[in-house]
Parts: sequence; C-alpha cells; structure tokens
Amino acid sequence: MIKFKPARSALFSLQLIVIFISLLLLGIARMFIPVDVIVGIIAIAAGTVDIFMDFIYLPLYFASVRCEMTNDKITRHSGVIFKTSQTVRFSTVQYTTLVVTPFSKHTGLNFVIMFVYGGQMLLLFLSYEDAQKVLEYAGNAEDRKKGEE
Amino acid sequence: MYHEHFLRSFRYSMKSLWLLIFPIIRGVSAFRFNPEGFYAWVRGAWMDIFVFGIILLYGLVRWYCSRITLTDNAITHTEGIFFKISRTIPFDKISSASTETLFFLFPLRATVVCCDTRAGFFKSTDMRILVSRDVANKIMSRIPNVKHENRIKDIPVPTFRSVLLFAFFFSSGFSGAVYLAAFFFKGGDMAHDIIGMSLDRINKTTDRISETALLKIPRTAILVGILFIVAWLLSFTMNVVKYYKFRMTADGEYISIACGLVKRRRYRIKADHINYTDLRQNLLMKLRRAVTINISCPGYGLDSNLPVLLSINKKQKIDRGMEVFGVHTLGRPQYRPCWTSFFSYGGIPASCAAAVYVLSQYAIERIPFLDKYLDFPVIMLEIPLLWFTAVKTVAHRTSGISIYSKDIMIWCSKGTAFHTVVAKRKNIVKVEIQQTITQIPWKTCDMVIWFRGESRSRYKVKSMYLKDAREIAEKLHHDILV
Repeated sequence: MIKFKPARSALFSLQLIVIFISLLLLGIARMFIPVDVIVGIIAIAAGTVDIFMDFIYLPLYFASVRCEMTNDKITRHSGVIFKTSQTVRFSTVQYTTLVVTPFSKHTGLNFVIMFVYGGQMLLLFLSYEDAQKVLEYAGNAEDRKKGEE
Repeated sequence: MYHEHFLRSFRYSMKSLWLLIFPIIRGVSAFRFNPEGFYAWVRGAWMDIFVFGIILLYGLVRWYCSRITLTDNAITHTEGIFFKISRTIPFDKISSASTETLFFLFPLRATVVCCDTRAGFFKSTDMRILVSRDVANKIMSRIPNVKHENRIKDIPVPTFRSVLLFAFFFSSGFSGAVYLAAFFFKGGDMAHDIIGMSLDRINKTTDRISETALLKIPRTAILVGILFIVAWLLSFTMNVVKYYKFRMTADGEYISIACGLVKRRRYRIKADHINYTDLRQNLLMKLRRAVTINISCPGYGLDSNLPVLLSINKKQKIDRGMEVFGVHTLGRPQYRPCWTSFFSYGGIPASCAAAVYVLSQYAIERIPFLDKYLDFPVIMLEIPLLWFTAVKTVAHRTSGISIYSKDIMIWCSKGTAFHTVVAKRKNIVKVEIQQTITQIPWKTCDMVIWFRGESRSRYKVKSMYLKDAREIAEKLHHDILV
C-alpha cells in the first residue's frame, strides 16, 4: 500500500495566494473608497479571513487529507468538520484528467480528476511525482492485474 | 504528437474576439480607400488593431499548445498555455467514438472527433477535438471497428422511403417552433424583418381564406394552424437532412453507424456498452407494426435527443437480424397490469374529455352567447384528450414486464409513445415499487425500473399486481420494502 498526503509546498502556495488576494482587495479598496473607516473595516475583515484561512482552516484541511493506494483501488480521506472517505477501484476509472499549474513542481498545485461510473474523484494539491504515480496506477491497473493473475 | 486543425486557432480567438465586435464594426465603417484616409484610420484605430492582433496571437499560441498524443493504449489531449489540462482516455474504455464533418469542413480536410466513455458529465462529450482528416483517420484506426468477415448480414438497411416515414412520424411542430425561435433570437434584425414580412403575408392570406371559406374558422386558428404546419415542415426537413443515408453495420461486438447530409456523422459503438435498447412506436406505427430502434449509449445521439439506431422497419424484419442486440419482438409480457385498472391508463384522459364536453355544453346552455367562441377551443382540447385516451387504452392492453435469464423486457408508454425496452439485467440500477392509497385495496402498484445511463432512464409500468411486482424484484435480486 502506498500512502501519500498533499504536497507541503501547496499549503505554503495557498497561504501566499490568500495573502496576495487580501492585499489586492485592500489596495483596490484604498484606491476607490475615500472613506478611511470603511477601508479600515475592509482591512480588518480581510485580515480576519486571512488569519482564519492561513493559520486555522488550511493547515487543518491539509492535515486531514490523506490518500491510500493499493494495486486495485485508491481511497481518499478528507474533511475538517465532516470527515469523508471515498474509494475508487482503478478498474472502474474511465478516463483521467491532470491539471498542471505553472511551476507546479515547486508549488505542488497539481490536480488529478478520475472519472468513474456515476461520478469522479478529485485528488487535489498533489506533488508532481504523486500525481504521475496515481495516473500510472489508474492507467495500467488492469494490465497489472492480468500480469499478477 | 499531433496538433488540432489550424481552424481551431480561429475558434480559440473567437472566444475573445466578440469583445471587439463593436470597435471592429466602427473601424471597418470608418475605413476609406485612399492613402490619407488609411493613415488617419490607422492612427485612430491602432489600439483596436493591436488588441485584435493580440487576440489572434493568443488563439495561435493556444492552438500550438493544444496537443494530441496517441499511444498503443490511450489518447491524450493536452490544452492550455499556463494551466495545462491533460485528458487521457484509454481506447478500451471508449464506448462510442465519432467523426462529424460539416459541409464547409470538407474542402478544408477538417473533422471533429468525439470520444465518449461511460463516465463524465451528463450529456457532454468527454473529448471533442477538431483535427485534420489524416489525424482523424489515425485516431479512428486505433478504435476497434466492425470486422468485415463477422458482419451480420441480416440487419435491415433503411431506405430513403423509411427515413422519410421516420421523419414524418417523429417531426413535431414544437421542435420546429423552437427552431424558429432560435432563428429569430440568433438572427437578430434580419430574421425579424423576414419573419415580420412572412407574418404579414400569412395574415393577409388568412384574411382571404376566412373571407372566402364557408367554414367559420377564426382567423387566429388559421394563423396558428399555418404556423404549426410551417414548424412541422421545418422539423421534417431537419430530420430528413439529419438521417439522410443512414447506414449501419454490426458484428456483434461493435456497431458502425453513418448518417447526415449537411453534417455527416460516423459512429463506432461498443455493443457491450449499450445500456438498453428501446423500440419506440406511436399509435399509428403500432397499428402498422412499425418501430424505430433507439439505443442508450454514452456519446450516441447527444445533441439530437433521439438516438436512433434504425429507422422505421416492420417488426418481422427486425427479428432476424437484431437478436444479437437483445431485441426479442416476438416475446409477450409475462407480467401484465391488473385488467381492472383501466382508470390508471385511459380513464383520466377519457374523464377529462367527457368533462370538457359536458362543461362546454353547460356553459353554452347558460350563456348562449358563448356558442361561437367555445367551439374552436373545445375541439382543440378534445382532439389531444381523445388521442391520449386511445393511446392509454392500447397501453393498458400491451404493457407489462418479462424477465429472462440475462435480459429484461419492459412494455410501457410515456406520453403518446410506446416503448419496448430491452436490457441486460446487469444494467438495472434500481427497482422501485410505488403504491398510492387507491391502489392499496386493489393490491396493485406501479413498478419503476431504472437503468444505467448518462441521463435519467426510468420506465414505469402502472397498476401491476403487488405480488407480481414483488416476484419481479425478487428475480432481479432487489430487496423491496412495501
């Protein structure tokens, strides 16, 4: 069984993105709203959301996500408040989609979507190596099964 | 590694180009054919030209980044400049692959290739790429086709006459009206003028008909009638064009289908991935023992809402060649609805028809002035209600379910159409028994069977005996609690 978690660098990247969006919002507010009080309220709100996301939600979310992969299936556990576990047999995977963002080898922002009968499994924030490994298993699962038999 | 067809770059550009539509129109209208005018025009419109160029360049780069890779086992399509989205479909998972060639793509040697699996989003194609004919041939060569030596020879070939008959039966005024509406909205002012002129002419003609004819048909009724006939004719023409030169070959494992005049489509379908086969009839077709065979298969008939496998054929013809697809037309329902349950079928429309007549007569008796106003709406209401009564009465006599060792057959009706559904038992996803308060004393129930499919596929047989329904559920290994 292979176990893996979302890339640590993805957490850092997301934290940076959240800070960037907050600063951008603040900059726009500062530019277009002349009333200092309103800008201050926006800054406090953005800062609160920022702190909540960067130091509470995202670390908890990343800690909760883990994947377990065997020869014939993959299970994904996730959820901060509501825990969910989703298992997919590789033999039921019809096709896969890989989304790669710029500098994803460093940011860890790689996403794999496995389309199965009646739904899909989203594997978010994987390191490039883990994403490739999942795709390899999903793509060759049946061949490997035949080989083992 | 291959690229999409160059035409695709324009398609990518067009997604953003519409933003510039008004500056382009303004720029083109301001253009003058002399050196000074040209210089002045460039000075004024340089920003628009620059943005236009950037958008074209973006389309070109996006086209360059869109790549198709073929391996022995799978096809991969990668697109996107910064965010790379790469979709891989193994060939053995493809339920249906098709090529679509619109008439204007012929000279450009371009073809749209679509691949669909049993997964993905509802009613959408999993992979749709515009490629050159050579690349399309290379892709299609990797997808298994009907083997010539194993070809089933008994499959009836639809003639042009049968396509015409099919179009005649299945064309509806409504779809024509929808088409007209789409034309009206999309065509803008030009279409508005054309339709306006046509309506004026129709108005004048209806006036003339109303004046000369002895019948007291209201002008509005004639106008509605003419509109419906025009809409039906449009729908009829569209169906004939869509199913022109319908050809099908099969070898038991794969089915190959080609049809269409303006947009020629060629499908390759994996027979094992067919969810169910549906023999459809309307009342006239039932009397003539004619059927159309429809299949539910991912990717087949996505945009037409009518996945036709074969056009009209006599049932006797189907029996010889189509048994390999699980079509047994000689079978009779093993389980039928309760014979006293006529009200669940034809009773409701019959009661409505009677009620409309009685109420209209009562209204005329009380207010004689309404006589000339009520005739037309009453007739217009009675026709569909009586038609429904006839359809549902026949449905009551013919509905039912049969269970075989591997297959299931369901005879039922939806709206005015009769369905005979043939499916593998493994394709059943849900069995449901519904019982209303009025059915409890009679120990009857409605049985609903759900099949695997990209969209909701459920077939309901009304007023079955409860013990029969339980027996069916038991045979299908579905636990039912009533």
